[in-house]
Amino acid sequence: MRDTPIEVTIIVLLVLTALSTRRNIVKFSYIHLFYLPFLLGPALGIILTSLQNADVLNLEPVIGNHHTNIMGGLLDIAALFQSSFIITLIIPFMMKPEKAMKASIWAMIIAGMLYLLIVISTIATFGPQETIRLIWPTLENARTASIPGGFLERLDVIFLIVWLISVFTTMFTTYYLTCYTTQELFHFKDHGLFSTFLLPFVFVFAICPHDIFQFFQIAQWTGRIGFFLTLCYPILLWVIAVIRKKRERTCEE
Amino acid sequence: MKNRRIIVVLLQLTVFSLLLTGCWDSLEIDNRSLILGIAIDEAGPDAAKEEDLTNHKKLDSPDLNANMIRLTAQIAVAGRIPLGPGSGGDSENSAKGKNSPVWVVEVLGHTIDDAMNNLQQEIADPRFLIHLRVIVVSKKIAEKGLVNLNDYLRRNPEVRRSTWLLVADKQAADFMNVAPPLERVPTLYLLSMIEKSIAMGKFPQAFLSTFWSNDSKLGQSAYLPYVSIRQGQNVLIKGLAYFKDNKLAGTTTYPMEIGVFMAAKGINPGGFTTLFPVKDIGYVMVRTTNRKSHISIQIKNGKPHANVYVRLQSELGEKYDEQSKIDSEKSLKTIELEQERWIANVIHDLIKKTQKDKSDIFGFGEYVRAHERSFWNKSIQEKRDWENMYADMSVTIKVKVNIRRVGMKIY
Amino acid sequence: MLKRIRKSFNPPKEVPTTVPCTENKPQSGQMSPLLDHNLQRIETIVGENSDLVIRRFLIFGEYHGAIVYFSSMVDEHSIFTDILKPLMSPPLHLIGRTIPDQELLDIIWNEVLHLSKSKRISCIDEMLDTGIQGSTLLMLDGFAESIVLDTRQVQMRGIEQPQTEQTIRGAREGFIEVLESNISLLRSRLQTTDLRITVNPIGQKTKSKVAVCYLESVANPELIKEANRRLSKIDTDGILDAGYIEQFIEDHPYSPFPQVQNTERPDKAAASLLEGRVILLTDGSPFALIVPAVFNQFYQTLDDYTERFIIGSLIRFIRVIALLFSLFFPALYVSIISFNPELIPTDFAVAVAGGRAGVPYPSVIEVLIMEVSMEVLREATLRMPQIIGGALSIVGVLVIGSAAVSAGFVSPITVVVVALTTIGSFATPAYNAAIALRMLRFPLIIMSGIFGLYGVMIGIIFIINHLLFMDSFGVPYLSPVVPINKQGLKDTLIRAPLWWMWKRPSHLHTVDNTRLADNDKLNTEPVLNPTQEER
Repeated sequence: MRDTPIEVTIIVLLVLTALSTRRNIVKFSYIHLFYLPFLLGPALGIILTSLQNADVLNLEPVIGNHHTNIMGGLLDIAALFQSSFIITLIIPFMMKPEKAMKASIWAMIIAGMLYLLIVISTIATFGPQETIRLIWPTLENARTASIPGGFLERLDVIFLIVWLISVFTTMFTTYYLTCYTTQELFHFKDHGLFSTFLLPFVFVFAICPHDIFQFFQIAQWTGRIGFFLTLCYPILLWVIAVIRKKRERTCEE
Repeated sequence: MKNRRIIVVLLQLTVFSLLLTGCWDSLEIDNRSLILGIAIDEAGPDAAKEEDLTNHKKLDSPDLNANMIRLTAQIAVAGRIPLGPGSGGDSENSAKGKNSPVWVVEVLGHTIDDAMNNLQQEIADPRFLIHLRVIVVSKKIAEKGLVNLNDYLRRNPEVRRSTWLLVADKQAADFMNVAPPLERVPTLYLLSMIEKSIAMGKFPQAFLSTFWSNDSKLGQSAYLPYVSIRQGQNVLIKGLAYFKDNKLAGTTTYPMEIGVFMAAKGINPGGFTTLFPVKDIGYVMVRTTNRKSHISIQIKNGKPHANVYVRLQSELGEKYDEQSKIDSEKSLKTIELEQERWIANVIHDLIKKTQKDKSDIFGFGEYVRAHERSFWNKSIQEKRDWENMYADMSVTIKVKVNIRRVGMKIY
Repeated sequence: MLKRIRKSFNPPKEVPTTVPCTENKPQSGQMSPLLDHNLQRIETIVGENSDLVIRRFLIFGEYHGAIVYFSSMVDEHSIFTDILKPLMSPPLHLIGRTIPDQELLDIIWNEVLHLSKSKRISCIDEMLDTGIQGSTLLMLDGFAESIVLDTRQVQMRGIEQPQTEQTIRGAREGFIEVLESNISLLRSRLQTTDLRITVNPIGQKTKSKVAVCYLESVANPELIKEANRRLSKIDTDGILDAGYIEQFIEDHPYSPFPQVQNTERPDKAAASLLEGRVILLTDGSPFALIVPAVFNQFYQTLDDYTERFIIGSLIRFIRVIALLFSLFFPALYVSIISFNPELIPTDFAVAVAGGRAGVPYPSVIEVLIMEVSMEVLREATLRMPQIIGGALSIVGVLVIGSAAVSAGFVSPITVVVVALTTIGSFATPAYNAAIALRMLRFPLIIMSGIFGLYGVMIGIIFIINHLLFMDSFGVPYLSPVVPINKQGLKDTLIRAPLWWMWKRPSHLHTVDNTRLADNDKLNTEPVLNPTQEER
């Protein structure tokens, strides 16, 4: 959609998210539960249909021809998992908190498998060199896939649905997290106020990048900062807690 | 408090009604010009004078002026292609004259995008490439290089990757006017012809997506269908056009070579028929139904060596000589052996030909990259390296044919 | 000697329960012992009424008494035989017995009257309230209490097949407007002592009786309490139909989706009682309200259960598809035609363009015009009497279909799309849910006209979020899909065989979970053993 000003598109999605975050945490979990099959199902469908154009030879050698920046790539992908931080918010409300560990491991496995399958199918269809040249390889993969019989030609409709739902749920999660933590921070009773308040900030931040390359850069930077916040800071806290416990024990003795 | 609420609601309504003021992207389907197919030819040397300039002032660079292109576009006309069966009177003047379902427009330009913009100047509705199905390029343009075209097509998000790019032996523009009685829209006829030949096993999948993938791969060269017009109306797939460095390097000489190419790659379904002489039996026609191939690479003396093992299942179509009898396993065996030898020869010739033109359409390089990783990393840094190495590659070909069916007649 | 037998045979006297006057009634008045005063007061309160009957007579030939009733509401024959007759001619066992004056009322109450439903009331307003509802008031001179006897009989229609819910295979009985008859229909299906029915009057002027029915051993007590609480909070002057009650007790009255189901069928009501729901029956309305209601009830019909499970599942599946179709098909059509024609195959795209070539305005407007005219047509056919209504539908189809297309007003594919949508919305069995989806079609079309597919998706996400956030009487609206309930899922899209659904859906938090006892023994043993039969 070229002609629609991008601000309008963003505003609509933001308003939808802001309106949805006014509810309590049970409803929050309902949303995720409901949309899950709508994400996984079509995504798997697209992957499976794109396999008809796949060539196993493209995947070999599995290790890759040249050792490029694996560590950097690892960090970037790990940054994608940061949204799972929301689990820290949900655990206090769980009826069976001992299941939290198992649930989060399963979640990681499913999400990881989905990423892996998408990557495999994209590379199998195009080959590694072509994948490098494309800006949105997954989108192109979805476009090329077609249901045999020529019924639906460009499957990027389904891809659009999947993408939109996943964007919405991710945004919803992080937005909710922000509102809730702000509410806790300032000891307010209800986080509905913050959901409206946060809107203009997020909007301005979204308009910032001038073009796609700057956008990639900013995404990488926020990923790295988030990485520090969600990984290193809790580790620090944990270390402090361990030290404290040891000190308590020595004090008691 | 209640007043405040009313004010807030009113404010929201005004803001949202502002959103309604524009349906920015909305463009009705009948207000779009859907370009179904384009043909790109070389324009003559004095084309620069004819050109209606839209994007630039008169360019004085002789290089750019000498390489002008002529773009012929086939645009679907809304309303003339009915869904149901067409009425009788329409089909008579369907191809030419006033009731043609497509509109053919011709423009000149320096580059593709330039020509596209010139085209837009001449037609009323905004042009859209979303339904572009076939692009025909003349041989001369392909020899000059497709870099420019590829770049344009890649950047444009409207272009589908399932579009077909064809190389025409003579004028590409003729293809835009081909209108056989079987199909109302010429481009769609071209498209269905190619797709059906893939379904019948007469051609490998070589649409834009495969073309670009092959182009990017270091160990494979790209290939496209090579077509020509027969009898004014029929389109013949003459062979494969293979590329080196985005330029046309050569074409296969006869359609049989497509068949052996597909045999070497193991592309199914099989569909080619070979006519060859067998000792004591005469000429026979054998049709391949199934192809399997296995390619393995060994490094001998620092050079790659390919082993191609092809297994074909065929059926006997026709024998030419009335006297000879094909009624025993032994005679079938003779035919099989002869065919094996024959096909192996053709594959060998094809490989030699592509080696001369330094175009690895079989993709041996990809096998090397996949299986012999260290060798690849050491010797090959860019595509040219492989192309040079391919030229001296040695190949062993082994074909095995199994004639499973002889039809309804036993001798 | 007879006297001695009679005395030993005397049953212990019933303690009479008198309903005293409450102080907050406006025209509150105790009865006076004088008959004339009471009658005068009654006449002033009630005013001119041609169906008010006041009949003075002598009880047992000696005492003054009167009966008051409204002739349009009572069974007059019963009054004659069961009230007037035994009062005018004393029964055998009272002949010759002297009755002390103070005990007259008690004797009449205990020994004479033949009617069972009776009360003793001393407050004029209470008396008149019950009198308006069809009771006969019996007043005696010298007593400040009256006996009120229930002799209510109103005209009612016979039990016939419910108009709004036709089934292929199922009972042909439907609820009627009279509460007692409805209760009897319900009780005859659930002949267990577990079924509790409590009746309360609601509405100041109509004083309609509303019955709350539930199965004691199955329904969640919290649910019952909540239902009663909400009913008691209704403070309005008239309840004319069950629909009024529905609107007062809903959780989210501003939502387009209904949270209370209504049915005219006693078998459906009985089935929902067995699941643990609560039924509200209103006097004067043939519709029973089922509370709580979740979304998947709105596309389920009784036919799914009375037929075998494969058929039931397939037909239900088709119904769900029709329902979803009726919601977003026109919006999808608009977005594809106006924004993304690359999604349809090329030949089709060109042909569609051809169909639209003559239409002067954008497809959003075209679809909206068609949809609005379809809605108008639908309303028109509803209001027309049957004879004209049939012809009107044909005219409507002809006009909108063929003529509009030939006039170049709309494109033929739009007609097809709109027709399919309308038919799809007819397939939804619950009228209130069908309306909700019909209404929501329009905002979706507008969103798709502005933003294309993106708009459709945003609209759908908005609607889904709305559904996810709603709950009905504490039960999340989209149970059993969210939160996932394995037992309930067996009854959502498909209808699992009856022997698989041996537990009740847990979103109702019922007290007793199991429906089927032993589900292993079904269908495994041969019915007839041939060797045994021969013997």
